[in-house]
Amino acid sequence: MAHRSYAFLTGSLVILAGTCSERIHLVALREGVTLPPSHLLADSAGATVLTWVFDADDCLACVTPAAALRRIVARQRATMRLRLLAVASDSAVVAGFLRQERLRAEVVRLSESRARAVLGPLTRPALLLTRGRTLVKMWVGVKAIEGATAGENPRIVRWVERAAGIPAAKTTERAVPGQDGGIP
Amino acid sequence: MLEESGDVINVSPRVSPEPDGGFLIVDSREARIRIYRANGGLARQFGKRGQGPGELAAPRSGERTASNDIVIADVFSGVVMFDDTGGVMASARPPVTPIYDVLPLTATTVLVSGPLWDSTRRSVPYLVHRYNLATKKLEKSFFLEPGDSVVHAAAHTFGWVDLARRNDTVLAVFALVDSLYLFRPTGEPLGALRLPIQGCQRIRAFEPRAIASPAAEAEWLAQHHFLEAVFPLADGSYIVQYERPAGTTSRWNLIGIWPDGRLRFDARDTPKLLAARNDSLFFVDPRSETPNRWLIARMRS
Repeated sequence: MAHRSYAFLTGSLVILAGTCSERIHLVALREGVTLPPSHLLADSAGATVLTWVFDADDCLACVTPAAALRRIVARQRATMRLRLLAVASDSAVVAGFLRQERLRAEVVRLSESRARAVLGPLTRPALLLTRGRTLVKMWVGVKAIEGATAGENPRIVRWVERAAGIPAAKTTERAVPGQDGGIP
Repeated sequence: MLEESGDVINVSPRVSPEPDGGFLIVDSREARIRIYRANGGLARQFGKRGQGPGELAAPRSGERTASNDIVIADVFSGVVMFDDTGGVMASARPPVTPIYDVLPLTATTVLVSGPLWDSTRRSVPYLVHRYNLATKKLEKSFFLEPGDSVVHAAAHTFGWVDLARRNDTVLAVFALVDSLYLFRPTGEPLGALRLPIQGCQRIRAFEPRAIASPAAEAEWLAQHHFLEAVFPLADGSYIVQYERPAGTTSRWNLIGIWPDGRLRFDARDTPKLLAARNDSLFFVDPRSETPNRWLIARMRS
């Protein structure tokens, strides 16, 4: 099942990266892909970044990944950044959510059209783990996020720890070996 | 200020004052129990997130028992009893879901709050229940859910109940009705005090479709007041905290009443009240972004 959904994502998620004045890049958003340097998700300094892409409903929902994100930030503060891509979301709602959940994160607000241009038809919510320009791992949809962030020792914590601990890949297709379930 | 560290962060603290001047804190979002000293130093933290016996899914409140153990109400996992060091002594799942609050009566008997429909399938549930943790049996249910059919429909989602105790009187507030209810620990009703909240936004209509999405639910919630907690004070009066949700935050309000029902005060847009001990009130410091910084106030007589 994991392989089938991975294949589906590989085939269907395409990014139109860059602004009108920049060179246009078409990039399939899939695990292991190298992002263009100017892409919103890319970090030119090679940093590990966990990005939560969501819309207003996702931070008003009963179940959010906030507890796992807090844990990651607490453990990996020195080695990774947390970034929130808030799509079509009221800034007061997002600020209230961050305060309520005691999350420290860089917040980027995107309009629906800008999100489509930058991320393509990415289902929200999604968690994207990047290192430098490499998209290391992605969890797309509520179920996938719940599976990665639930419990006392969420799987996502180990993914982030591993990503933050490996050298940044500049051109490799796959930064972390394995697909879904690569880390138990 | 409550001590924190990388592994200790207070996100959604429910606070119960301890006899020694410290505080017992139940943090539902972190699934942790913390014991703080009177000076704000952390004595210990325990609890493990999970669905198994003794684990916490969404702990909502906790109280110290007469035998110095700690009993925790978990919304979905039932009741968990810890010893003072955090060892799990017992866990039980009363036939009440969700569970909102717990109040220890004896070493093995607790009151839990939450809806339970009786075997006659009446349309209105009982909200408070005596439960024996040793025998794992429900001994008695009482406090039939107040309100009309609109309230009963909304209560399926928003009908939380907070309990407190003063000597031999159990105090209960139900989120959707502006009254304070008093009972004996055995369940006999002692009366109800109507809370004269000026401009109280009661629920007059409820359609499940109105809360079909989180944004719609937030919008609906923002139009109403909900009773959140009751705090008995040493001078015999009571404070009831009520909230008006506002998206990801809430606006907090307090109403104080005397035992005869006279209004003492009705204060709007207050800091969030966390606990009361004698005449001291412990608020989240409104100048702080985090709930581990408190403001301590004293009631004037």
